Amino acid sequence: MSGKVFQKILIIEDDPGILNYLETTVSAAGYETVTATDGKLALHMVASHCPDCILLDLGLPDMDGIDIITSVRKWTLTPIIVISARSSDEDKAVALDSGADDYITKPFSSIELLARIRTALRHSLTAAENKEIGIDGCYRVGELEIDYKKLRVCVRGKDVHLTPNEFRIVALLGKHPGRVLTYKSILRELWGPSALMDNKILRVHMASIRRKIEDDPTNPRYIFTEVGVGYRIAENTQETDDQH
Amino acid sequence: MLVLLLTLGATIGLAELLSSVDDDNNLFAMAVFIMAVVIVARWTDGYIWGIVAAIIGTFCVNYFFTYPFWAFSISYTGYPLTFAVMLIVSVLISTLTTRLKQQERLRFDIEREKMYSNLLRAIAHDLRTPLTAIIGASSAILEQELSAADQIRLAEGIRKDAEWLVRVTENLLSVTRVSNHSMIKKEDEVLEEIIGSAITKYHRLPGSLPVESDTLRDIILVPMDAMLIEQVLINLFDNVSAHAEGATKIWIHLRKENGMVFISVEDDGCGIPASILPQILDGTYLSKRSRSDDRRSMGIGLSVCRSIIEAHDGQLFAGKSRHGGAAFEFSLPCKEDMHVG
Repeated sequence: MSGKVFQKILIIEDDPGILNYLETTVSAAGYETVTATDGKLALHMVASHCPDCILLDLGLPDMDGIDIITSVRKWTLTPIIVISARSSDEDKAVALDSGADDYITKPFSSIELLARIRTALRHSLTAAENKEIGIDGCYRVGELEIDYKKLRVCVRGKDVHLTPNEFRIVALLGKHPGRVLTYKSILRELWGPSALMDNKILRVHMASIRRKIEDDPTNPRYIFTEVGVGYRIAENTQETDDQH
Repeated sequence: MLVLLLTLGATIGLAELLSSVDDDNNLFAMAVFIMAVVIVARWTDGYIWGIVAAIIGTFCVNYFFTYPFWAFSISYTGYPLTFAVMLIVSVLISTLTTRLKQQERLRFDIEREKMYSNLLRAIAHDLRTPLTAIIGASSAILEQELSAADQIRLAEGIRKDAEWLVRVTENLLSVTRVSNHSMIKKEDEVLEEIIGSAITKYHRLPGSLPVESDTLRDIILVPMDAMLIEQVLINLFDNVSAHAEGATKIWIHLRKENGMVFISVEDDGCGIPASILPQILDGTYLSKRSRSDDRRSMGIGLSVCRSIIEAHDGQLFAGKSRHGGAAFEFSLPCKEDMHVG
């Protein structure tokens, strides 16, 4: 990592033990770190340091983490990774819906944390849309190919017969590889903000999609379920996330 | 209150019917009212309602069924005595019934208390051993001159123990959610989605085994709290890797029967001796074990699974697997199949 401009990570966390762990891990990986232990300081730090990525613990003493996300999002697209406890699902969905890019659940390993940071930084460089689609109108991951020009999905070169709604779901996920899209945001995107759709319909569509594109629907390779939150499509990565 | 009014209303009707059959005999009426008092005392909780019923009953008998009918009267000579006797009998009956019920509840409370203290003991026990190991290993790293290889070995131990502790605390959080029913949020979930997610999470744990799952042809919707059912599956998988000696693989078999879906987690390991099968599900196996320092207790995990499943109106069974090892099967009520084009 030498001879390179350091990317700056802002860590917002009030627990000294976890802060210590995060700071050590992140700086050992070659990033520059700045820290904030409460919401007010955090907002100040975002404005003065312009970090490349923000790690945000939702449980802060003085402010709701969601409020931090909304006020940061008013003026910058800096990627925000939310750190949350496992017991608070709705919080994750709310955080993603209010503009967070990703979430990571406590407890997590340093490998997982660093992989998420790399993903977030890469996305911020390639902007919101999936750059790979721009090149030839296709997104390919593994043996799955989503063709945005011919509006079809192929697995191992064979056309998969998706219904129009199923295709729209896959196409939407494919535009944001590696990112969790919440049930709410998928429904809103596909059926409009006022559509009276419930998650059930989406789940049934997804089950049907999996039967068509996955070899083993209970061991998915392409579309992953984040229980209680939403769906994530696999991302093309040169690096493997579980390396040591 | 509702019970009281309904019962008294019904009683007045019944007594009226009886007295129309036999005009002179208002003994019927009194008997019927005493019965009403017993019923009220039985179905309401508290003693106040019983007494209220007794008093109202006595006045009703006076008003409706003693001469002069449809009016209160205290002029007739035997009346104060009848009134007093009936009131005392009613109050006594209502007191007795209430006390009986209180005793019943007390017994139930003691039973639950016992269960809680068993669970607490199991938890304290499960926490103590890994914590001791973590403190020991970390102080060895800090205070002794160790080779790099030894340090790594100790750090690996710390991580393993801490991961184990996380799983124990997650189970505890699930228990608090299950015991407080309002915190269970059931939504219609697609079963294979939850199974898939549980498998993915299980494979992140060290020492996990390959899992092969059946897929049902139809898409089954199961109303459930997805986080909790996922926890059940992870616990069952984790039990296989921790206890089933010689297991090389985990199978999930699914079947649907009479509106229930049965999910069976099976392995090809050493199996469970038939003698401990009944105890293994209710957590009592743990406290009876001879080696009290064996860390990997099954107790909490399985009793958590059981309470989660029972909170979903299902059942957990343990038995032998067709693959030679142990099988844990649970049932959940499911909805109609959905067919999507």
